[in-house]
Amino acid sequence: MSTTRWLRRPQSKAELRIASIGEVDAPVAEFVGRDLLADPPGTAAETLDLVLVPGASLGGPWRLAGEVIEAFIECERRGVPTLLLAGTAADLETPVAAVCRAVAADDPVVVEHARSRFGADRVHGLPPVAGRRPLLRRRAARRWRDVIVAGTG
Amino acid sequence: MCHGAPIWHPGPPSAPWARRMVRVADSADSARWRFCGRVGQHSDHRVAAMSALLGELPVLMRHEHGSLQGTSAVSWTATAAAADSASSGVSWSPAPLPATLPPDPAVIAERHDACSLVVGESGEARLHAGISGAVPIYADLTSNTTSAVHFCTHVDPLARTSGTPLRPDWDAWAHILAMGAPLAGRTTFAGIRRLPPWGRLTVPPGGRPDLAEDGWPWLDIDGGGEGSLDAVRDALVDTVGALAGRGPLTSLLSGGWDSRILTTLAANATAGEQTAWTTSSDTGMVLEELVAAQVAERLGIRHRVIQPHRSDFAADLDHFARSVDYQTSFHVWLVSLARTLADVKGIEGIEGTVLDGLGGGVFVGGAFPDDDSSESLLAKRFDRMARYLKGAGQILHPRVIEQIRERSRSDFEPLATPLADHPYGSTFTAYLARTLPGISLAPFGLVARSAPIATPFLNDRVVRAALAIRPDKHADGSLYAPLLRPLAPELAELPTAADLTPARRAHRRRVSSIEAAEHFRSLLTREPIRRLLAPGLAEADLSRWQSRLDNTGFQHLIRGLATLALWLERYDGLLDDASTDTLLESVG
Repeated sequence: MSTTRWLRRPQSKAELRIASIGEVDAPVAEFVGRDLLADPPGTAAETLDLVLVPGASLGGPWRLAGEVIEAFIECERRGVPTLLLAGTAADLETPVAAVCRAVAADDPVVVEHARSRFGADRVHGLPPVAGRRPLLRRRAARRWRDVIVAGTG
Repeated sequence: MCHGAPIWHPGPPSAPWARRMVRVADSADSARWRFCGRVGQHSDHRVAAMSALLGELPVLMRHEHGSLQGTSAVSWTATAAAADSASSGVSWSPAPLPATLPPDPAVIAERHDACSLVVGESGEARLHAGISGAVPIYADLTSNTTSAVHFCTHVDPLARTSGTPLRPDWDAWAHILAMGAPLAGRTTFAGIRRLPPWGRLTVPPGGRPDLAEDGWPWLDIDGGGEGSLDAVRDALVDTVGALAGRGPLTSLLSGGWDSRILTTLAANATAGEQTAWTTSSDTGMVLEELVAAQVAERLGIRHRVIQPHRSDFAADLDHFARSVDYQTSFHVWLVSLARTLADVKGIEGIEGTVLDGLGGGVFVGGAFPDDDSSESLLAKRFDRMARYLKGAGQILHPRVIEQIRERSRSDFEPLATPLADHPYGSTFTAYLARTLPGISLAPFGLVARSAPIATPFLNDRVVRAALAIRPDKHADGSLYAPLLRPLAPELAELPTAADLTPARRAHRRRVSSIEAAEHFRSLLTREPIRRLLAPGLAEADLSRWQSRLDNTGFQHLIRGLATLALWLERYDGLLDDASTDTLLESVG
């Protein structure tokens, strides 16, 4: 799986403020304002709508250590949702995965594993083919789920 | 052990327990720590039957006036010169004991919180509970006019081998629902009792059994204010150091103070060669895991985070209920971690005695203080312990609320009244009404199945040192940071998970997930539990159940009812009266 299929600009006009914990690939990076590991949250985290956490197989963090912990603590304190982008089932097993609020994956096997572990309501299965309609629509334009759409590939 | 065949026991075929025997594969308890025996003169048929249910345990003592079978214990002999009369004894504990023990059950209870069975030269037999009472030992007192009393570390074997009709103890169930655990030593079965702290069950030769509950030494501590934190710290260091001298240590690490202190002590005592284990306490936050990770990182020890799976909720609830003999539903969330500890034992070189912070909050942290309300002391302490009844009309039928309130109050008052004037009255009330009957079963019922376990905050020296400090000095956990500072200055300043927790919880709790709500609804809408519910709840849709489970008080009541449902299912056909109508009667 490539992160290039993860995001596209939400159809709503609202600008979602998205950050990441760990580096995400282009072109997804276009939607991500900053990496909290390189640019610690400070007071700005209060205005974030979503934090993406690339799974270990996508080059993201797997250990809970140092600035990774600090970034997650800031997200928790400010109520910012963290979304694990899981490329493989092993991405679900890491200490970092255990502290993410929700999971998104496009591999049906990973989605099934994730639902067993996290619960159906916390897992977003994405269509594997690019160019589909948004997977999850919400009336509230600022809801972070608006951004989870299938891809630009 | 013969799998698949009816269990064999050496009693006569017409023995009253025969009908309650089930296949070994269905019932054998593979808990790591298990004992059964008798105090007094009797045949060994019932002890052997209990042993078979527990998985065929080695004989540790076989004497005309007392017998014991169990997993492992320390035997000792007192000569007439060293005691009132010569006696032989066996002592056991879920924590590793020294290879030799002083030949006195009271000293053993005090120093090691261990239970002992002693038979004197005269034939007098005595079962002596530990000083904390947190290590459970149950006795069947239904037939205490006979010459012996049978006992066990688990309720189930006593119930299944009982010679008298099995009856629910509805007072115990009222306590479980209203307060979280049964008071006054009750268990879910009438007549099977848990020994109190320092309880001594004595059977003189030819005489009747006598259970002495008086003289608990901890109540003599007057909180006079002469104590010091150094004494508490020294006692903790010595306790953990002694455990480290008997084998490797591992710790359950949350985001709070008690486990942080124990993990630090263990790291110091083992030069960092330990693993700390954390799981989600299902509070709707992940700060416990994150702060625990910070602590482990700063101590330089291995850290494992175990994430409970949503799909395992029903199995975890059932596992927990069985492990604690259906007496409480506190800490169901700990099951995944306990199971992992059992699975990894010996695989990753992690085997060791698990340190648990039980007792730290009450004896050091100043938990459960009296509030400033104008209510009577007894009333406010009762309301605090039975706080789950607030708003209970959303979950329970109005008559059930009346019943469980009155039944709880009638056993709470004899417990709390003598403590009203004690300087640590609120502490001991909380300890006896909540920590002991309920919370203690998480370490000693659940985790003890997987690993040796120790609770250093319940060590006699630690408790005495902590309670020698004036009660007001304990307020709001203010002793914790200065207690830890000389051991780990950086950790003394690190905020706890509670310090960081915002008002709004971000995560959906596992206990209120779709998967859990479906399971609870399925358990509670079956008869005879259904009739105990508030009008309309049985017919409510899943989202209403989820919303009720998001409220801690409602969730507690639902967990209690689910535990009752599982218990009735487990003992279906063995109970003489499984009707719950008693809880629906009007309080006269």
